[in-house]
Amino acid sequence: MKITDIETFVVDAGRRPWLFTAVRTDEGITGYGEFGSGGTAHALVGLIEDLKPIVIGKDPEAVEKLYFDMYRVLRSTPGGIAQMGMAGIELACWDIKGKAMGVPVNNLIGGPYRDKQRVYWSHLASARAGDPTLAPDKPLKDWGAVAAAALEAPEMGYDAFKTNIIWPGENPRSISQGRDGLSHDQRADTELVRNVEQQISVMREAVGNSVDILLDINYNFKTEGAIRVARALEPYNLFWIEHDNEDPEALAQFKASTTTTLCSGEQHFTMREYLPYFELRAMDTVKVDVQWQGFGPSKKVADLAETYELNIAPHNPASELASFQTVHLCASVSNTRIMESDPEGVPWRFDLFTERPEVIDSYMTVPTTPGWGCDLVEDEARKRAWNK
Amino acid sequence: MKITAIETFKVRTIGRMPWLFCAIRTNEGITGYSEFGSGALHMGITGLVEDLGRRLIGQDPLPVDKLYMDMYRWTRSEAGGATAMAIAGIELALWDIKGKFHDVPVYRLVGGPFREKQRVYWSHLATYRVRSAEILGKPKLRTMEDVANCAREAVDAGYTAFKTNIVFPGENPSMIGNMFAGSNDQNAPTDLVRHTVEQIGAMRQAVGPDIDICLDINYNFKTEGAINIGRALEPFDLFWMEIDNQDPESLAQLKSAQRTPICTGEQLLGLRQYQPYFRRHAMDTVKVDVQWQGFSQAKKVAELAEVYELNIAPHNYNSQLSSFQSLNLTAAVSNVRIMESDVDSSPWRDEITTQVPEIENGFMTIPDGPGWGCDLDEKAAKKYAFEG
Repeated sequence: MKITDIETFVVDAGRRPWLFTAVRTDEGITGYGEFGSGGTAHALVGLIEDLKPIVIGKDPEAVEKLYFDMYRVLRSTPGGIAQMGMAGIELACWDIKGKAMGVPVNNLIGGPYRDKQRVYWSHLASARAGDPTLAPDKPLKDWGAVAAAALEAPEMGYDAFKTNIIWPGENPRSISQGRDGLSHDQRADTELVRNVEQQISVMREAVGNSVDILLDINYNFKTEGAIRVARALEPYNLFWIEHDNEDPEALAQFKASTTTTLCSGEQHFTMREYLPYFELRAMDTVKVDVQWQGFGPSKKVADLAETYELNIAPHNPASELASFQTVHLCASVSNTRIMESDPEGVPWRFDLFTERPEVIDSYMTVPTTPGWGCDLVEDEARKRAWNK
Repeated sequence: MKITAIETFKVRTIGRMPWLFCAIRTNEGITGYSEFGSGALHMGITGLVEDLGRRLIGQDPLPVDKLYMDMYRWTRSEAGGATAMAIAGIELALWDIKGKFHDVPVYRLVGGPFREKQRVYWSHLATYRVRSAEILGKPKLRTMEDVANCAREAVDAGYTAFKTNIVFPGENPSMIGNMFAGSNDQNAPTDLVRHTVEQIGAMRQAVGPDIDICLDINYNFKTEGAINIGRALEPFDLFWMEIDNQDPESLAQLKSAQRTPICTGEQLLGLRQYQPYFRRHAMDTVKVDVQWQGFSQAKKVAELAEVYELNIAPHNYNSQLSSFQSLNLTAAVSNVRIMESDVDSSPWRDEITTQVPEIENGFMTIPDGPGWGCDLDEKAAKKYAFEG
């Protein structure tokens, strides 16, 4: 089999576009991949074009070799968007390989380890704070509305949810000082620490002790601020606090400074980048993103984490195809803590795919059909093309 | 002053990849130019300049470091690699604007000059003639004596140092290609080690003991192969052997396993990526690329290197504008070993910039014009546009 063409689809999903690849072959099989981060859409579309000459005409089934052929050309620019671009092609090739052999991807490489995967409802309340149109009838006008939002998770069968720091009100907002705003300082001032304590206390009171609460503080704080927030939240027994921080020693210090459990790592790509963190046991749970680094690299990271007595938790903030890819990773490895899932999104998103993930009582079913078990509906993707 | 437009240019070269340039225009008539990034990912990198540039329109170009940090935090989840290169394209053009606005060279803005001239080496000596002897108007590399003649030519032109790569003269001359093609194993078999000894032996014999010879083995070998080659070349007193290797402990081992000095680091982008290498003193000389990581980061890396008793050597293999940018770095820091310079180059190279560097007895004069002291000639850049 030979790769004949690669097409990239950029779909307008509101806040950020979603990116997909379709890798076509001379035997009529098309593989799909969801990849990358929509914040760099022009770059990623360009990268796929840069990579095309390396892969067109090659056998997509030797996917690990194909990955390495791309990797070695990009040795001077490893990581970051280059890794995301490679992931777009690699993921679609795994889909091709699964379809060609008539087996699900997890099965190809020795799974399944499980037939369902526990998931948490991610961006609970914070998605609505950023985009009130997601639930126009449930505005986050006060802490009571935040408590009601938390209760929706158990009502929908979820026994775990993750939120971000928000301020309810007439114009609710969620924190984003790691990405923009006037100051670059990433501080956790006292008002902010009190606000987050209020938020988690209200949510804990609403759902009781049988629902797991996770808080993602992203890049919003330097290490000192993250420690302050984590210590303040110790009474609420968080499942984890999630923190993006690019200094392994700082994270190890964070972990030793608080009884709140730490999850970290979504922005690391490939074993090489995770190693300094693993050596210091700088996190309790390892965040791993399939869409950003590819399936092969993610599995290798999980396998290495096993030898450090660590479990992974896949990062999965994108569309439905990403959930399929990610649940295949969970079914391919021995060490998963829990998986991310976004139940809320643009209402038409299911039109984009031939299948939707099945979630029953906070567990996502591992698919049993060939490849990822979910195709992109290309006409729908074209209809909703992002043209910015 | 406000940024009004950001544009990129791709100029063809005698190689397969284009040179990349960025122009940033302002409402006060000042245009800043930069040369940036690696042509291997030209579509991805220029796509990212578009993703980032649109957010900078209307902003004041003068607080360069602040704007760098803004771009960095927008892309924190995909930092490094091609991401850093695209940010560098914008940052470098902003420095040029700032220098022109204050009517001083960039190195003066930041506290230089440390020097009036900078020793350079003739890079890719013999290497470029493997494929491009005809277009360069030079004799074909038929025998090892032809390779030795290249070395004599450098000395005759006043250079006191040159760098070469492993080449195979003959009717169809070739160079080592373990990096980008063939098997993925990066082995150094015995005949290859012997061949390298023969090449460096012939070049040393041609120029005598007083000329400094560097050999760049790039990504061609695993650590074991590099050690074997380094040991075999000890009798020829190399100035350095340059290797790209992404494991700091391996490099520290290479440094202590043989006596040839080691230069490495060109693919490391930003202070954070150099730190693990510095902590282990994993190199003798630190390769630093201004075009790939930007001026501020390159300067910060040089300053941190000073603390570790290390000198830098700027990586500089592009058009003349990159020599001007790199000279501004060497004039802005205290610790430079030597600087790279390509003598063999695309015949139209001098046409596409408004200035060319002055070279005397193997030293380049530090420029004294405002900004980088050299502009892109946009008309010429369009005349020689890269067509893909």
